[in-house]
Amino acid sequence: MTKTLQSWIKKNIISRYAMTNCPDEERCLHVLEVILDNESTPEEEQEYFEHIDQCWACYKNYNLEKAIRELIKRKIEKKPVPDDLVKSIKLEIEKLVIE
Amino acid sequence: MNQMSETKRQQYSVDEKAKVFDGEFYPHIDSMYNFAYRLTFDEDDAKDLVQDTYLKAFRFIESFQEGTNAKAWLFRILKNNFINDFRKKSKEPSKVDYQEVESYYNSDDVNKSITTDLRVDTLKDMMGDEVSTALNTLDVDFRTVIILCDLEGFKYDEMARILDIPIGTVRSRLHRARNLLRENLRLYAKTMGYIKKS
Repeated sequence: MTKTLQSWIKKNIISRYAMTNCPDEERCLHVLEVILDNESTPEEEQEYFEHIDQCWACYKNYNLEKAIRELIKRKIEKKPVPDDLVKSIKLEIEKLVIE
Repeated sequence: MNQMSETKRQQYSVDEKAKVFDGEFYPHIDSMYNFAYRLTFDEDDAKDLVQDTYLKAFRFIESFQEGTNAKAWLFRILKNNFINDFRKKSKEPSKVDYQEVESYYNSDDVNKSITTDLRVDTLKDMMGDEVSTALNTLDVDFRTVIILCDLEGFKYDEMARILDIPIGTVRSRLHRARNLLRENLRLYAKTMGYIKKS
Protein backbone atom coordinates (compact mmCIF):
# COMPACT_ATOMS: atom_id res chain seq x y z
CA MET A 1 0.00 0.00 0.00
CA THR A 2 1.38 3.39 -0.97
CA LYS A 3 1.98 6.04 1.66
CA THR A 4 -0.55 8.34 -0.03
CA LEU A 5 -3.26 5.68 0.15
CA GLN A 6 -2.42 4.92 3.78
CA SER A 7 -2.68 8.56 4.69
CA TRP A 8 -5.96 8.92 2.73
CA ILE A 9 -7.48 5.97 4.61
CA LYS A 10 -6.24 7.36 7.93
CA LYS A 11 -7.67 10.80 7.19
CA ASN A 12 -11.00 9.79 5.67
CA ILE A 13 -11.91 6.55 7.33
CA ILE A 14 -9.98 5.64 10.46
CA SER A 15 -9.81 9.08 12.02
CA ARG A 16 -13.52 9.76 11.42
CA TYR A 17 -14.63 6.52 12.99
CA ALA A 18 -12.27 7.19 15.88
CA MET A 19 -14.68 9.86 17.23
CA THR A 20 -18.26 8.65 17.11
CA ASN A 21 -19.44 11.03 19.83
CA CYS A 22 -18.48 14.67 19.79
CA PRO A 23 -17.78 16.17 23.22
CA ASP A 24 -18.77 19.56 21.87
CA GLU A 25 -21.66 18.63 19.59
CA GLU A 26 -23.96 21.49 20.63
CA ARG A 27 -21.36 24.16 19.85
CA CYS A 28 -20.46 22.41 16.59
CA LEU A 29 -24.13 22.46 15.57
CA HIS A 30 -24.25 26.21 16.17
CA VAL A 31 -21.16 26.74 13.99
CA LEU A 32 -22.62 24.44 11.33
CA GLU A 33 -25.78 26.51 11.22
CA VAL A 34 -23.81 29.71 10.74
CA ILE A 35 -21.79 28.06 7.94
CA LEU A 36 -24.88 26.77 6.12
CA ASP A 37 -26.50 30.21 6.47
CA ASN A 38 -23.42 31.78 4.79
CA GLU A 39 -22.78 33.95 7.84
CA SER A 40 -19.53 32.35 9.00
CA THR A 41 -15.97 33.69 9.04
CA PRO A 42 -13.24 31.87 7.03
CA GLU A 43 -11.65 30.91 10.39
CA GLU A 44 -14.85 29.28 11.62
CA GLU A 45 -15.14 27.35 8.37
CA GLN A 46 -11.55 26.17 8.44
CA GLU A 47 -11.81 25.02 12.05
CA TYR A 48 -15.14 23.28 11.41
CA PHE A 49 -14.08 21.41 8.29
CA GLU A 50 -10.85 20.28 9.94
CA HIS A 51 -12.95 19.03 12.86
CA ILE A 52 -15.43 17.03 10.74
CA ASP A 53 -12.50 15.28 9.08
CA GLN A 54 -11.95 13.65 12.45
CA CYS A 55 -15.41 13.56 14.00
CA TRP A 56 -17.95 11.05 12.72
CA ALA A 57 -20.83 12.56 14.75
CA CYS A 58 -20.31 16.04 13.32
CA TYR A 59 -19.67 14.68 9.83
CA LYS A 60 -23.09 12.99 10.02
CA ASN A 61 -24.71 16.18 11.34
CA TYR A 62 -23.15 18.18 8.52
CA ASN A 63 -24.62 15.90 5.84
CA LEU A 64 -28.00 15.72 7.55
CA GLU A 65 -28.37 19.47 8.10
CA LYS A 66 -27.28 20.18 4.53
CA ALA A 67 -29.82 17.65 3.25
CA ILE A 68 -32.62 19.22 5.36
CA ARG A 69 -31.90 22.68 3.90
CA GLU A 70 -31.97 21.26 0.38
CA LEU A 71 -35.17 19.36 1.15
CA ILE A 72 -36.94 22.50 2.38
CA LYS A 73 -35.86 24.48 -0.69
CA ARG A 74 -36.76 21.72 -3.15
CA LYS A 75 -39.95 20.23 -1.71
CA ILE A 76 -41.91 23.18 -0.35
CA GLU A 77 -44.33 24.07 -3.09
CA LYS A 78 -44.49 27.66 -4.34
CA LYS A 79 -47.99 29.04 -4.60
CA PRO A 80 -48.67 30.92 -7.82
CA VAL A 81 -49.72 34.53 -7.21
CA PRO A 82 -53.39 35.07 -8.19
CA ASP A 83 -53.54 36.78 -11.61
CA ASP A 84 -55.71 39.64 -10.41
CA LEU A 85 -53.70 40.54 -7.30
CA VAL A 86 -51.43 43.26 -8.75
CA LYS A 87 -54.37 44.67 -10.70
CA SER A 88 -56.55 44.90 -7.61
CA ILE A 89 -53.73 46.53 -5.59
CA LYS A 90 -53.27 49.10 -8.36
CA LEU A 91 -57.01 49.85 -8.30
CA GLU A 92 -56.98 50.33 -4.51
CA ILE A 93 -53.98 52.63 -4.77
CA GLU A 94 -55.76 54.69 -7.44
CA LYS A 95 -58.68 55.09 -5.03
CA LEU A 96 -56.27 56.34 -2.35
CA VAL A 97 -54.79 58.88 -4.78
CA ILE A 98 -58.23 60.19 -5.77
CA GLU A 99 -59.27 60.55 -2.11
CA MET B 1 -45.75 53.43 12.44
CA ASN B 2 -42.61 53.34 14.52
CA GLN B 3 -41.22 50.60 12.27
CA MET B 4 -40.28 53.18 9.71
CA SER B 5 -39.26 56.03 11.96
CA GLU B 6 -35.57 55.09 11.88
CA THR B 7 -35.25 55.98 8.21
CA LYS B 8 -34.94 59.46 6.77
CA ARG B 9 -37.99 60.61 4.89
CA GLN B 10 -37.76 60.88 1.14
CA GLN B 11 -40.21 62.86 -0.98
CA TYR B 12 -41.78 61.17 -4.02
CA SER B 13 -43.90 62.60 -6.81
CA VAL B 14 -46.84 60.52 -8.13
CA ASP B 15 -44.71 59.32 -11.07
CA GLU B 16 -41.81 58.48 -8.80
CA LYS B 17 -44.10 56.46 -6.54
CA ALA B 18 -45.33 54.47 -9.54
CA LYS B 19 -41.73 53.92 -10.61
CA VAL B 20 -40.73 52.61 -7.16
CA PHE B 21 -43.74 50.29 -7.09
CA ASP B 22 -43.08 48.91 -10.57
CA GLY B 23 -39.31 48.70 -10.23
CA GLU B 24 -38.79 47.77 -6.58
CA PHE B 25 -42.03 46.62 -4.92
CA TYR B 26 -44.08 44.58 -7.38
CA PRO B 27 -41.16 42.28 -8.34
CA HIS B 28 -41.40 40.86 -4.76
CA ILE B 29 -45.09 40.02 -4.97
CA ASP B 30 -44.38 36.32 -5.48
CA SER B 31 -42.30 36.06 -2.27
CA MET B 32 -44.75 38.27 -0.40
CA TYR B 33 -47.74 36.15 -1.39
CA ASN B 34 -45.98 32.92 -0.47
CA PHE B 35 -44.88 34.35 2.89
CA ALA B 36 -48.43 35.54 3.56
CA TYR B 37 -49.85 32.14 2.59
CA ARG B 38 -47.44 30.31 4.88
CA LEU B 39 -48.47 32.57 7.74
CA THR B 40 -52.24 32.36 7.21
CA PHE B 41 -52.70 29.00 5.37
CA ASP B 42 -55.56 30.61 3.46
CA GLU B 43 -55.45 31.94 -0.10
CA ASP B 44 -57.97 34.74 0.48
CA ASP B 45 -56.31 35.86 3.72
CA ALA B 46 -52.93 35.79 1.98
CA LYS B 47 -54.31 38.00 -0.81
CA ASP B 48 -55.80 40.46 1.69
CA LEU B 49 -52.59 40.52 3.70
CA VAL B 50 -50.47 41.25 0.64
CA GLN B 51 -52.91 43.90 -0.60
CA ASP B 52 -52.97 45.64 2.81
CA THR B 53 -49.18 45.52 2.89
CA TYR B 54 -48.85 47.23 -0.52
CA LEU B 55 -51.42 49.86 0.49
CA LYS B 56 -49.46 50.59 3.67
CA ALA B 57 -46.28 50.72 1.59
CA PHE B 58 -47.96 53.35 -0.59
CA ARG B 59 -49.13 55.41 2.40
CA PHE B 60 -45.75 55.28 4.11
CA ILE B 61 -43.53 55.36 1.04
CA GLU B 62 -41.76 58.51 2.31
CA SER B 63 -40.06 56.26 4.88
CA PHE B 64 -38.60 54.09 2.12
CA GLN B 65 -35.18 55.11 0.84
CA GLU B 66 -34.81 54.25 -2.82
CA GLY B 67 -32.02 51.79 -3.49
CA THR B 68 -32.24 50.22 -0.01
CA ASN B 69 -33.55 46.72 0.61
CA ALA B 70 -37.15 46.93 -0.65
CA LYS B 71 -37.87 43.25 -0.02
CA ALA B 72 -36.90 43.44 3.67
CA TRP B 73 -38.87 46.70 4.04
CA LEU B 74 -42.01 45.09 2.55
CA PHE B 75 -41.60 41.89 4.57
CA ARG B 76 -41.41 43.95 7.75
CA ILE B 77 -44.68 45.69 6.96
CA LEU B 78 -46.32 42.37 6.06
CA LYS B 79 -45.13 40.77 9.30
CA ASN B 80 -46.42 43.70 11.40
CA ASN B 81 -49.70 43.67 9.49
CA PHE B 82 -50.07 39.98 10.20
CA ILE B 83 -49.39 40.42 13.93
CA ASN B 84 -51.62 43.46 14.34
CA ASP B 85 -54.58 42.52 12.19
CA PHE B 86 -54.64 38.94 11.05
CA ARG B 87 -53.44 37.14 14.13
CA LYS B 88 -56.27 38.61 16.16
CA LYS B 89 -58.83 37.35 13.66
CA SER B 90 -57.34 33.96 12.86
CA LYS B 91 -57.35 30.81 14.90
CA GLU B 92 -53.57 30.88 15.03
CA PRO B 93 -52.37 29.95 18.53
CA SER B 94 -51.14 32.85 20.61
CA LYS B 95 -47.53 33.94 20.49
CA VAL B 96 -45.20 31.72 22.47
CA ASP B 97 -43.75 33.02 25.67
CA TYR B 98 -40.20 33.77 24.68
CA GLN B 99 -38.91 33.90 28.20
CA GLU B 100 -40.03 30.34 28.47
CA VAL B 101 -38.44 29.51 25.14
CA GLU B 102 -35.17 31.22 26.01
CA SER B 103 -34.96 29.42 29.33
CA TYR B 104 -35.72 26.14 27.57
CA TYR B 105 -33.07 26.96 25.03
CA ASN B 106 -30.53 27.49 27.79
CA SER B 107 -31.47 24.30 29.57
CA ASP B 108 -30.07 20.83 29.00
CA ASP B 109 -33.34 19.67 27.42
CA VAL B 110 -32.39 21.19 24.11
CA ASN B 111 -29.41 18.88 23.78
CA LYS B 112 -31.64 15.83 23.91
CA SER B 113 -33.06 16.63 20.51
CA ILE B 114 -29.69 16.65 18.78
CA THR B 115 -29.12 12.92 18.64
CA THR B 116 -31.37 11.71 15.91
CA ASP B 117 -31.88 8.54 13.93
CA LEU B 118 -32.92 10.59 10.91
CA ARG B 119 -30.71 9.84 7.91
CA VAL B 120 -29.98 11.56 4.62
CA ASP B 121 -31.40 8.54 2.70
CA THR B 122 -34.66 8.85 4.64
CA LEU B 123 -35.05 12.49 3.69
CA LYS B 124 -34.72 11.64 0.00
CA ASP B 125 -37.88 9.50 0.18
CA MET B 126 -39.98 12.28 1.69
CA MET B 127 -42.75 13.88 -0.32
CA GLY B 128 -43.44 17.60 -0.58
CA ASP B 129 -46.60 17.31 1.50
CA GLU B 130 -44.72 15.69 4.37
CA VAL B 131 -42.06 18.36 4.31
CA SER B 132 -44.67 21.15 4.18
CA THR B 133 -46.54 19.63 7.12
CA ALA B 134 -43.32 19.37 9.12
CA LEU B 135 -42.78 23.10 8.56
CA ASN B 136 -46.41 24.18 8.89
CA THR B 137 -46.94 22.51 12.26
CA LEU B 138 -44.19 24.65 13.82
CA ASP B 139 -45.38 27.57 15.91
CA VAL B 140 -45.70 30.66 13.71
CA ASP B 141 -42.63 32.39 15.20
CA PHE B 142 -40.42 29.39 14.54
CA ARG B 143 -41.97 28.83 11.10
CA THR B 144 -41.31 32.45 10.22
CA VAL B 145 -37.55 32.33 10.85
CA ILE B 146 -37.17 29.18 8.75
CA ILE B 147 -39.15 30.75 5.89
CA LEU B 148 -37.18 33.99 6.01
CA CYS B 149 -33.80 32.29 6.22
CA ASP B 150 -34.09 29.09 4.18
CA LEU B 151 -36.76 29.96 1.63
CA GLU B 152 -36.28 33.70 1.18
CA GLY B 153 -32.54 33.83 1.83
CA PHE B 154 -32.54 36.78 4.25
CA LYS B 155 -29.37 37.40 6.26
CA TYR B 156 -29.45 37.46 10.09
CA ASP B 157 -29.29 41.28 10.25
CA GLU B 158 -32.16 41.62 7.76
CA MET B 159 -34.23 39.14 9.75
CA ALA B 160 -33.50 41.10 12.94
CA ARG B 161 -34.90 44.23 11.27
CA ILE B 162 -37.93 42.45 9.82
CA LEU B 163 -38.81 40.83 13.14
CA ASP B 164 -37.71 43.67 15.46
CA ILE B 165 -35.53 41.41 17.56
CA PRO B 166 -31.75 41.37 18.25
CA ILE B 167 -29.50 39.24 16.02
CA GLY B 168 -28.72 36.96 18.98
CA THR B 169 -32.41 36.19 19.30
CA VAL B 170 -32.65 35.52 15.54
CA ARG B 171 -29.88 32.95 15.89
CA SER B 172 -31.30 31.26 18.98
CA ARG B 173 -34.80 31.19 17.50
CA LEU B 174 -33.48 29.70 14.27
CA HIS B 175 -31.51 27.09 16.17
CA ARG B 176 -34.56 26.09 18.17
CA ALA B 177 -36.76 26.14 15.05
CA ARG B 178 -34.37 23.82 13.25
CA ASN B 179 -34.28 21.39 16.16
CA LEU B 180 -38.08 21.30 16.13
CA LEU B 181 -38.23 20.90 12.35
CA ARG B 182 -35.71 18.06 12.46
CA GLU B 183 -37.80 16.41 15.18
CA ASN B 184 -40.99 16.80 13.10
CA LEU B 185 -39.26 15.25 10.06
CA ARG B 186 -38.05 12.39 12.23
CA LEU B 187 -41.56 11.77 13.58
CA TYR B 188 -43.00 11.76 10.05
CA ALA B 189 -40.30 9.39 8.90
CA LYS B 190 -41.14 7.10 11.79
CA THR B 191 -44.89 7.24 11.12
CA MET B 192 -44.33 6.45 7.45
CA GLY B 193 -42.10 3.54 8.38
CA TYR B 194 -38.95 5.08 6.92
CA ILE B 195 -37.37 4.66 10.35
CA LYS B 196 -37.87 1.44 12.28
CA LYS B 197 -39.82 1.94 15.49
CA SER B 198 -37.62 1.37 18.49
